[in-house]
Amino acid sequence: MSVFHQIGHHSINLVKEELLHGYQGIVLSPLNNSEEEITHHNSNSFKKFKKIFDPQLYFPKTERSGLKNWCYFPNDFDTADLTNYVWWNSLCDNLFATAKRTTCDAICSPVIIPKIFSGDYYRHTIEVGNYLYNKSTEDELDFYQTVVLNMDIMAEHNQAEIISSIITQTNSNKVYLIIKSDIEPRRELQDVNQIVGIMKFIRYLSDAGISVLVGFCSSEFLLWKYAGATAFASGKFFNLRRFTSSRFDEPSGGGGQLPYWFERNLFAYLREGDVLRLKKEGLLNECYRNNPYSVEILKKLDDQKGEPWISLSWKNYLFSFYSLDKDFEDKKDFPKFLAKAEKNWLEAEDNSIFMEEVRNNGDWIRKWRISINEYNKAFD
Amino acid sequence: MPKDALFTDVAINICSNKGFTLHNFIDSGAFKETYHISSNQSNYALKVFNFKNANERSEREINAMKRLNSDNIAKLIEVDNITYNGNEYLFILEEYLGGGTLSSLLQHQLLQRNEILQIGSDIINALLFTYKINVVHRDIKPDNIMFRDDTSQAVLVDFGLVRDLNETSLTQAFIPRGPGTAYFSSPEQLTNKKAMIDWRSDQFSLGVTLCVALFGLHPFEKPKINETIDSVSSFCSCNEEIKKQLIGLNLFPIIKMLEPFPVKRYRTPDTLIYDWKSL
Repeated sequence: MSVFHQIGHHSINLVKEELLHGYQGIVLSPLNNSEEEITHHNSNSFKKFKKIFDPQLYFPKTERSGLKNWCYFPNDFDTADLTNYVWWNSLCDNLFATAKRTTCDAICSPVIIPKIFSGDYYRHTIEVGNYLYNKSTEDELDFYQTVVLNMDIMAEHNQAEIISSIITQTNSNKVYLIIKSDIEPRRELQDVNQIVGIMKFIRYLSDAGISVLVGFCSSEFLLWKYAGATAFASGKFFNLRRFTSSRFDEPSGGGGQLPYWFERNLFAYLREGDVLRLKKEGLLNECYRNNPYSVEILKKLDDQKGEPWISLSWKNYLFSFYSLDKDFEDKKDFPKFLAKAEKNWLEAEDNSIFMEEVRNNGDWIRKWRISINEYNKAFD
Repeated sequence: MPKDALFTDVAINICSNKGFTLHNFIDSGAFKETYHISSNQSNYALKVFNFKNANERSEREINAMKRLNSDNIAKLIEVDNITYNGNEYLFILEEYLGGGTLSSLLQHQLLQRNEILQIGSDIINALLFTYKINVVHRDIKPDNIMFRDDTSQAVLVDFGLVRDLNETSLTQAFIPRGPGTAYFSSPEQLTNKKAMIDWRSDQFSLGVTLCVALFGLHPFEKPKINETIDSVSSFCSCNEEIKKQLIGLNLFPIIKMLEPFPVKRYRTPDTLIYDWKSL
């Protein structure tokens, strides 16, 4: 099992944090850094990591951040016939050259987010991917077939079986999985059928000998791990916002960010007031003592000087992320852990301990437990 | 009997031009007829197409066969055109398979486990070659498995419905059922889910063919043929009794070959060959 940094807005410095030593690699993004910057980091501070390049063509808008400045990004992206394989092959050639130039170790195949997630769409992504796979493996560049699943359709009957049947046409034994949802920031996944559909999809790929790296993860990554995914990428904002289309819109400005604390006992993200209340009641999970950022946060809060801890909250989350991955090597532990978290929520409620955000009430834990049961039944 | 006597005249004309002897009519398809011919003690199968009807599918059949070089696939010897009575005809010269078809063999007897193992091994080997060049046969059935008379080696024939996965599909998406013989087709062919069709569709058809050869029953058998086909196209699981019998005969790979969804079948021919060799 391994965890990767998912590079986002101003997150390069987090990779350099010495205390976040549990990360094996980085999923690099062209959106926030130039080719020169990435090349520089790859040959210096990123040297020890496995470096995977995600070309990020999901939402084709030429004005998106720094993407248009990258050599592989075609000038005619807005007007091109995106069903034309010749066009895609040329893009792949340029992408391959970029990955080599920037000394990346691996490359993800380029995909767009379609209007309709049809069989033909997935087949097209495989054809494009197989072209890049053949080119990459000839030159010992590791390759990941990118797959975007739309959460909304994964609840439909047999979707997991149909899509996985097409995806297993890839020549590669590695998939970079992105789960697209329209879930609001700070909300957890709650649709049992959608969750089970994704878990089944991951299991089918895993059974077919394909290892799955799930990108843009939050704490729900343990569900994917339970289903057989072997690697996970997360970044500083993924405690709040997942892979949604709005995530890729231009920043609208205004509204400062709030810091959150990941609490294992409740398997939830807490705001400052919640943390203080739980600490007072002795309900924080003791494992926070092993997380240097948690210790530092609590010290700040105890000092009552009102010092900001947003940066610490990101590090606290990233430390928790890889600790969870490490602590749940045995997948049987996760359902037990969720059962305990649910019990803790009930106890908190019985003791009239409520969280500041109305919907932060642990409801999703039950949905996740049901999902695991349904998933297990499907493979009995 | 030939459907069109004109084809026989064309075949006679080809033989006379090329110095072959025409022996007999073998079979007819929608746009072609096949004859047994010989020259200098070598036997051949001569396929004659009316050029007007020799469409893109015929071209793809020929192109696929030119690229397939396997002992378990009928060998293509020559492709040419001929003008006869002002009409153009396309003809293909293939190796002649004197051992007949699997379906004619099954008219007399069902096969034993060791025979199933041999035929399975031969056709899986053929599928390894189709997989390598990214084509799908789409019509594997007892009629399209023939034997060499000298070695009893099974050979895959008739690539008339071949799908080259590198080319655009010739089947329109609005067609409810894709090409193939329905009784032996995979669920994805029957429901025309084109994006799901690959070599694993042939794997499924081979699984059905082997069950028919072994038990005389379709593995999804229902009282009526159309109900059997409906059962397959509904992505149902195969008959539990057949599964038990396959396990009893230690032919477990066939159960995996018959999984309704391709993702649960063997992903590559190598993995199927590995399991098949262990039997």
